[in-house]
Amino acid sequence: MGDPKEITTLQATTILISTIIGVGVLPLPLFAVRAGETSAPFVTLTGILLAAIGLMILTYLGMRHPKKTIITYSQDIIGKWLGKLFSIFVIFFFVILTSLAAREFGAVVVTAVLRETPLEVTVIVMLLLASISCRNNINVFSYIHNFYVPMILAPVLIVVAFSLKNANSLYLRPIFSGNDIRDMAAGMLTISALFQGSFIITMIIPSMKSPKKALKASFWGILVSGGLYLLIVIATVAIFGPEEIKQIFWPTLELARTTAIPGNILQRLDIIFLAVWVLAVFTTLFSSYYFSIHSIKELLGLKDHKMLSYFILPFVFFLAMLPQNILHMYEIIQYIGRAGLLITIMYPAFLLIIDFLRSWRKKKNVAKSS
Amino acid sequence: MYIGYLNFVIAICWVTGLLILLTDVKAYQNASLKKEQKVSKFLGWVNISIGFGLIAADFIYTRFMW
Repeated sequence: MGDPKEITTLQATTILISTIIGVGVLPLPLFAVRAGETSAPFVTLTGILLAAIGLMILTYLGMRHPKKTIITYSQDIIGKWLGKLFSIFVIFFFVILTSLAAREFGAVVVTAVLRETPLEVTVIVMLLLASISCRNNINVFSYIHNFYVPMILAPVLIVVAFSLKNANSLYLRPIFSGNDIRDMAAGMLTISALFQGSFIITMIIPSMKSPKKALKASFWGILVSGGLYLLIVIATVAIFGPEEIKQIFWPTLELARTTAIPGNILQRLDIIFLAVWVLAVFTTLFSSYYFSIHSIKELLGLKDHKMLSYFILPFVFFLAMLPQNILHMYEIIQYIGRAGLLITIMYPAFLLIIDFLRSWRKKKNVAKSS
Repeated sequence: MYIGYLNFVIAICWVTGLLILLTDVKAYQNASLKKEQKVSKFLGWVNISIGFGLIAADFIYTRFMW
């Protein structure tokens, strides 16, 4: 029931890509435009860079402790009880992240596809799917991600490529529109928060064949997913323009709706896009759910995580149903996302600094004694 | 606050509690993982108890406080 060390660098990359690309794809251009108007691509780029810095810090920290996850090495770095306390915050944050992803999925499905289906049912189905899939070991986890990545990437790239024929480059100018810098910073943090799933790398490194290549996996993971996010924002802004996007809840879905394959083969691609989006949401939810139960397992010192997959299900569902409506939900998502950067970027940075200081002191003591 | 989903929460608590008790406890017993067996038994009963607790709380709230 232990985790074998069989994950390759490519598998680690695909896990990162499919984990990052998720529910956030749909409202992404809206978040970017609200923050920067025509500077939306620039705001997105800064958000991606911030997320990349956080991911690199976390990966480097993981490479310094290749046999442990953040739950266990944090106890070595800052002490057992403080490490456990911060780990509880990390786990709780990922449980909230899972519940919000499930709720966002439910909201989109109920609004755009299954209008007669109760919201609770769509949320339960997705959570049940994730909880059953989480009962497997980390190898199956990586196979599932590996299998779905091409199906997630290809249709999104097709939608972006075919939509560009209607693009108006004037909508993208001026690149720096001189908006309120505080709005732009807030937008940058919100977009950076869409990459928080990349925290999963801390759980992947101990199961990798060669943990030394984790940095390479992180680089390609953030490059592909960030590049795709940037392309989506550029295409959406170039087609609808900032003012139109502000009136749309899920601009990426509208982009797929207005895109046609030439020759009248398919006059709108929203249904194909939604089918792919369901896969993307599943892989994101799967990762955050798996990370939560895997971390609880490590915190409690258990050898297996299966019983936890069912145990946390009612709590995740309860948290998912707390937002009163879509507006309330997005308000919470933005707030939790920004606050979560303290956990996903600041906490690893803090651990890395303490770890550097500890190893420096150790070296100094060894030099003194010799 | 709207809590019309309470019935769903109660049902999930019972189903997940039963699933843990019926599948995981036995699997850990067969694998001779004693700590895991104890923890899964405890977690299964926790979920079932939460389900009953929510029913009781809902009954008290609607009967005496609403």
